[in-house]
Amino acid sequence: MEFEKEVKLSRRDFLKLSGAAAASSMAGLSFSFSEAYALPPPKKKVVAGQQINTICYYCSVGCGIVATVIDGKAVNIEGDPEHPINEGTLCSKAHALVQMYAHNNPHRLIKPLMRTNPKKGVDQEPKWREISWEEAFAAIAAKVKASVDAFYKENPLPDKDGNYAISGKKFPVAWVGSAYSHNEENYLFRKLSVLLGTNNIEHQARRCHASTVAALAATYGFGAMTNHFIDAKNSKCIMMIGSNAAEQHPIYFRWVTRAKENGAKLIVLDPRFTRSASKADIFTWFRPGTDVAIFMGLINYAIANNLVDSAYVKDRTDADKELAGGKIYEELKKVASSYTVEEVSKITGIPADKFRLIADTYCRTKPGTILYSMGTTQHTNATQMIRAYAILQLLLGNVGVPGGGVNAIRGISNVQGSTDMATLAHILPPYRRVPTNAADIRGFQKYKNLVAEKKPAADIAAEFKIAPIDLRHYATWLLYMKHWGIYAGTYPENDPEKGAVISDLPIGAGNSSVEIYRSVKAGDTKVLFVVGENPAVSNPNLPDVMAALSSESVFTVVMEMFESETAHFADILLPASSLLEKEGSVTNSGRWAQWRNVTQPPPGEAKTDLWFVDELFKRLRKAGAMVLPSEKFQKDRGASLGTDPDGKWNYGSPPSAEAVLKEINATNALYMGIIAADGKNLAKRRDKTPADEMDANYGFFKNWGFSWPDNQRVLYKTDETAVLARALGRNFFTADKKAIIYASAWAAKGFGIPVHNEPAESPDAELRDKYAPLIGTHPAAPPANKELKIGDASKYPIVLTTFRLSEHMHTTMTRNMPWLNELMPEPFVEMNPSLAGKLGVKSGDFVLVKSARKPEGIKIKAVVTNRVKPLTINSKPVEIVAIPWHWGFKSLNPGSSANMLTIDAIDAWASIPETKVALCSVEKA
Amino acid sequence: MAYAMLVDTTKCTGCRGCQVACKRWNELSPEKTTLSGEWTNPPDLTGQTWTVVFFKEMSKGGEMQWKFTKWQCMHCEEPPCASVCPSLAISKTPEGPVVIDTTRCIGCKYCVEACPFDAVRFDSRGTQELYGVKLGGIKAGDIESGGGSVGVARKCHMCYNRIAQGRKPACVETCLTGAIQFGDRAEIIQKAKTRAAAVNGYVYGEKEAGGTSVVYVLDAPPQELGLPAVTPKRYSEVKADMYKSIGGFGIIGAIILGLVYYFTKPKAEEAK
Repeated sequence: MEFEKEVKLSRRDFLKLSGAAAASSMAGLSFSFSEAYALPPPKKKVVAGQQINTICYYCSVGCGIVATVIDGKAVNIEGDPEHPINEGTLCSKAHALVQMYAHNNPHRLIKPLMRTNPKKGVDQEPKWREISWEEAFAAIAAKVKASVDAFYKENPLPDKDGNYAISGKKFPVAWVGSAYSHNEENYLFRKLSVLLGTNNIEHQARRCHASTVAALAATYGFGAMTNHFIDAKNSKCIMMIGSNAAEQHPIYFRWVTRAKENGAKLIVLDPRFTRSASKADIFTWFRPGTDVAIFMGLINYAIANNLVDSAYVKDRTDADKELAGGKIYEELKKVASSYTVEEVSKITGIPADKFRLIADTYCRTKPGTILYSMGTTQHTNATQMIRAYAILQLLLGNVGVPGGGVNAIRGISNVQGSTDMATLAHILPPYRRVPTNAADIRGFQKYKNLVAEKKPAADIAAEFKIAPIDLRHYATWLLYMKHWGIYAGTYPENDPEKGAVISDLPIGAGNSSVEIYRSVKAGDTKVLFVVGENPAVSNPNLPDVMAALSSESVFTVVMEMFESETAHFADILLPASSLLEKEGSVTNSGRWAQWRNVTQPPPGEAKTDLWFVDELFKRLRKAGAMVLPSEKFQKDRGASLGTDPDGKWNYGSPPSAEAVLKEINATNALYMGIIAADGKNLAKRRDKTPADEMDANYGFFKNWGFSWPDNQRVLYKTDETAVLARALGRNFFTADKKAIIYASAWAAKGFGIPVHNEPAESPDAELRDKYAPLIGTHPAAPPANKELKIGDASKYPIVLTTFRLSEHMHTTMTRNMPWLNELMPEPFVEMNPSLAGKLGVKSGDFVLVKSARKPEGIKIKAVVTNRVKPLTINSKPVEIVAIPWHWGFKSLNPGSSANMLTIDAIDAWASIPETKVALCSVEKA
Repeated sequence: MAYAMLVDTTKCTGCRGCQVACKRWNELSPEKTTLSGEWTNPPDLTGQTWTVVFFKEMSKGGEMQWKFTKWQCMHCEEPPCASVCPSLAISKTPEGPVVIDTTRCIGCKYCVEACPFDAVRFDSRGTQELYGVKLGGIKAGDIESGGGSVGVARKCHMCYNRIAQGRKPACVETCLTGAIQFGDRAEIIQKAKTRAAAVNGYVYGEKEAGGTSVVYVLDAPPQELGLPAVTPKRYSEVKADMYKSIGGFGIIGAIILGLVYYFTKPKAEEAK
């Protein structure tokens, strides 16, 4: 819209309008009415100083923001009107970003601090002493060296088999990285952890979409959101379950709204009536943790009513493959047939008529898309839930089409990227397995020898009896040997069977997020780095996490912008740069890598994570705290394996993000091509010109940023224009390019086709017997689920779920911003009037919410609302309450943590904790 | 050119981007609040909160509804606040915004009393630090921001300073679903009517107080959403009626009654 540039601010002559009577009535009061005064012209400029565009801090949508910088100081932040995703719009959180800068916020950390109070605990003041970075590094290097030396004393190299390889799990150092950190930073976190000798490396992604990666990779090939944010506008039917995009990914809802304007239907299923639900055409409440039942019910409905896209299923899935008892499709049909509408209603609490309406609407309206998020992913059977979503979409032919797909909406601005960079205990970037054992390294040596012989990949794969696609793990390890200056293989190389195994890649998966703190508590992890995460609010079963962090046997280094709850337990607290103060690439949930620019330098002595990890590497090397197994071997045997980690850690001084990105471009198959042949960094592209007609029709924006793989915007869309010849994402990334309905790897334990299991804590004994939870003696239960504090429904009869608010982002930043505290100042528990009536509680009263993890309960205010309501489960009424989990004991407005109550049971396939459902009791405080 | 703002509440998701965008652009103070059962926070407009989204749970045909209604100054076509201002501090600009020149304001609160929408607030404190956190931003004159003199009346000025630079108001620019729009008033009214017809709803602001520069599309009657019932009469007509009714009292009587009138809220008198 064009406005007049100069507006004459003349005063309206109201005297003329209101006539003489008004004038006379004014006479006695006004000082003068002879002449109207003119307003002075506006002083405040929309565009002033320097305009620096960058990418928003918070969620995974990846909106563009523009900072106004005057005299080196950022004074204003607006939405970037040129950005294709948000088009100048922003949510409440982004507008408050100016309160993140230290010149506006005295709570930012600007100096390294050292704890002087040896005691740790919630009630123990750390008594910080300001120190220099030099002192900080000296203290850290000494601690790491001491713990590593002690470790090698107990686990000497060579080991009893004569090998030079270490367990990635037993190593006494653990690193918790961050999805807020850039791709380059996460890449170096993972590289550093390998060079240190540990796979004990985790971050928010474990609690974000670990189950998505496991499920979607096992079904489609890539464990990521299939489409992208703008693509929602192409949909005709949007089903949101386990997602509350209007609140958690507000700008995604811009595109959902666009679809609705074009006639699309919005179906929302949620344990709570949310702001997303307020815009739904069809809404239903359901009991948290019952998604598999819902989706196997939908699959059953689609099959029974001939709503399956048979041509698609035949062409693009494994449905026709033979199993022992018949075709895969028949097996699916058989398993799904027990999820009748009545059974689904009994398990989930969705009225049968409502379920039929949802099933019929969704199965008949195409293209349909499923949007989900942490409401789905954080369950003990989340991987099966997402598998069920993925299979339904295959049956309906909704995958690989604009407006369709399984859209796993990730949480944090770079959680897709940090996962791609594998800041995770079980993988190396990108999604390559860590060596499972010494035999795996021998296999790798064999592979290297065959590659040296220049054998074609198909022949090599045949020798290993695997599909060529499965050689990618070894191929990537080979890249790391070259680019990281490390060694993995045997000595001598020509004797893979009997030679000594040497592996600088730590062997075996490390501790997952929940297990890391158990390991700290057990005294096995001696040094814990937490760079940009706040587990003392975000992890489940906080009483145990806090006990671990209070342990005197652990030396904790925290790098943060604010004194978070986790920082409260730190031995060393380092000041971090905010994302507005550093550059690098971030990958949004739609797989778009975009570039962040520096809006102003970090305050005081705050540093970027990139600088910290680069410096730490150099200091640890110098201190002798980081010696590779191959280096030990070379020293012991006088042989040369050609390792050179120092020479291959070379990113300039200070380290440059772009230099790291160049290495990512060379080692990470998903990001290959992000640096173009002419050396251009495609993450920086800001060109909205459509690449072709398809781009123009669907809004792909293929000239904006870079999307993995090969700049593909809709995964598995066979006719999308390819950029690289390999066209990695154009078909399902599986051995025969067909999607996988039947997961043979999981079939032995009964999960070839998804089946429902009750949550770890189930409110109904009968359902618990019929659909046993994945805990204790269940054959599929992971070891971590054997020691849990399980609450019984007789003592804790109410179902608890947790959620987030639009006005806060996770745990730390936004609770230090006054404008956002104003909107949502304190935590609360939502309960239905029926429960409130029984307890004699009204909105604003304090209640105690108790669980098996926290039998004494947390004190929290009640909000009495119809947004949550009791459901009829197995013919019995079950009350549901909900608590937002942002709060903790620090920040501007401290408050009770929901995760004091949640259970640390984990998903059997992805180790993601079940923070979305537990049992509790509520009483008036 | 006379502009108007459209608030299509049927598209609002209650994200409150507008609420914080307003605080950011106008450098308004955060407020210390406590939990609000219906999530509305701050609970009402203040001298430092120029727009607020009201959250309201309702039920229609047994189905739950949750309504979000952004609220602020309505920018009357003929603003009573300007008419009653003894220091001539309030202007209706030709573009539509009604702006208080706080450097001229004497703090008499006549405008606060006169507003039929109860949207003008007396600001006794100005911008303040909360939790030690200061505001960012360009220090503008206090007409444009919440800073500067205290003890004055403050309210939404429809970002007249952005409009003057060819940009939409901050709340409009940030609205992610397009629930808040900005444009030529006649076109906005047309849009509102079309949309209201489509959702079987209501238009608010076309006629209220003789017409305003903010026009709502509502899918529930205005009073159910907590919007005030305001006479369709212009302020001049309201006054003309009043003087007719007092007939031959003469000029002295008119002044006395005029005084009485100013201390009474017209909306209370005229509400239907």
